[in-house]
Amino acid sequence: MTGFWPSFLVEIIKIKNSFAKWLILLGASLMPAFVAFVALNKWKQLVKEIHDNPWPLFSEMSWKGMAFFYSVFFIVLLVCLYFNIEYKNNTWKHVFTLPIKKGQVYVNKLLAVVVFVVCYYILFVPFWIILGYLLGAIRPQLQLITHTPDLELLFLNCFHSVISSLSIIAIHIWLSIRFKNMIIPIGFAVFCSIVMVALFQGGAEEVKYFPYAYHYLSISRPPFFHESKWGPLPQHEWYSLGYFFVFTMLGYWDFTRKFSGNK
Amino acid sequence: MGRFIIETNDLSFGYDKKVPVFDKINLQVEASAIYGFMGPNGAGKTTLIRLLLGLLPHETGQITLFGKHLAGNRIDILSRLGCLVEQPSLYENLTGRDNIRINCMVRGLPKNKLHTVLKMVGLTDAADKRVDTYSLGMKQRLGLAIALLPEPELLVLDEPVNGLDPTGIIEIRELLIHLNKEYGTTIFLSSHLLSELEKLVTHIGILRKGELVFQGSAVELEAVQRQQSVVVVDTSNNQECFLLLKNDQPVISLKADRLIVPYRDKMEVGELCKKIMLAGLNIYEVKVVHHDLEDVFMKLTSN
Repeated sequence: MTGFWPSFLVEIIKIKNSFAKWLILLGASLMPAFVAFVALNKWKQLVKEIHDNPWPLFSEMSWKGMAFFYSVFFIVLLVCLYFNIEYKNNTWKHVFTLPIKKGQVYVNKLLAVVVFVVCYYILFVPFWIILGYLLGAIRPQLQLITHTPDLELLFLNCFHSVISSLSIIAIHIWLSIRFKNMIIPIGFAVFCSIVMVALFQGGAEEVKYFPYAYHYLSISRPPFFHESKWGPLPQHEWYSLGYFFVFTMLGYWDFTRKFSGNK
Repeated sequence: MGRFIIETNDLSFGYDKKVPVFDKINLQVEASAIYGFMGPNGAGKTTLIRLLLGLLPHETGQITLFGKHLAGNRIDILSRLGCLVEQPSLYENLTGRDNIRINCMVRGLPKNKLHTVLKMVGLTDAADKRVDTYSLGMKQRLGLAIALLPEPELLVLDEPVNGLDPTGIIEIRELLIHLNKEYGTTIFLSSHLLSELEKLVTHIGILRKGELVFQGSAVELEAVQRQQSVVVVDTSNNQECFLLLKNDQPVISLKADRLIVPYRDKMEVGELCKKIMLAGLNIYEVKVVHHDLEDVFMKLTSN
């Protein structure tokens, strides 16, 4: 029986030289770079909005940008590209002739995607700080050099975003198992994002049941609607964990019983 | 473990239940054999290989490998075999070395095995190139290297010399013979290159429309070949010779102005000539036509 770590590390190695790896790096750096570029051009307007510490404003701009569509599509694309490595190279048949249980293959793939998403948020932090200071050096009027970012809030946002991501991760892993053609899961995500916009525009509280809105609900300050907190997490993040559990089980069932990689 | 490394009992399978790909196949592959599996396109060769490896679910019949039922012993069985199904399954974004390395990791094998198999298939110099820059032959060699990695007791190879140049084909053939002779590795391979199989196999199975029309050793196949060999005779009067021999020979025909007589052995050819000459006929030509594997294959697989 193959040990857990070697077979899990193999899943990480598989993205070497692939677009999935570049997507993690690009995804983590693109939003802070874009926000820095906007701030560079509209610095005069931003200076007026700064009260004391400019970092919360820079943080809000970055996180709102990340949360609305960006992170959802990052995760959807990442899952599709990651599973497409096996489809494109016709390697599912090889994976299933290795002395490793199908269930273990599924768990390894699920954990690998979670690790990739965590890496995306962890990489976002240094990129965001570096670009913030770089912006402060170019535009001293923004006072980013003379103040420090709230790292606790930064990591708390990362933590809540990862929890919110879990529902979409499990749903899209299941979709990638069901459909070989990656256009179908991407199309589904586009449709769900349109529904999400409609729910937000309509001010519907039912948005708390909609996984594609969880990123925005997690970082929205002030909160989009009054939401009770159960323990350390708001209601919608518990729902995210619930979706994660249900779709992980569904994916496990499909993968271990029916899946052959030929669909 | 019994005499057979691979054994199927009344194995039936169909992608559509109403249209079976094959029906009640009883495959028997002896230990330390090189079993060549032949059949025309669409006969079900790859499907059978996929079933043997557990890549397809089977509903009727039994599959036994190493004396154990595949259902329930999949992991144990897969750890003892190496395989190459259709085109090699390789991660093209990785290097050749990385492809072998990930297999080493999953199988829990030491890193030095990596160099050994690369050397075996002659890919040491290209090991650090990305697989998407490899030629088809190089990919085939890398696929074979991965199959050889666990020092398997059984190698299951589907068209292993596909895409290889003549030198590559000879090298792989010699490698397989070496593995079989030195380590007693049982090799089960399918190929459409009959001339290649003829030089390699000790046992053969011929599949036609989901039916195993021949299964046996190369010696048994030679007997079949011999049965289908004929003596072609041309005399000064073939019509008269035909009437002369018709009473003694069970099968005799006159085709394209030549007499066709079934061949049994060379003694009988001598007796035949003696009889013709004693009848006062001149013999212009006597030749024994042996059928090669291709002829036997065509005869067995044609309707």
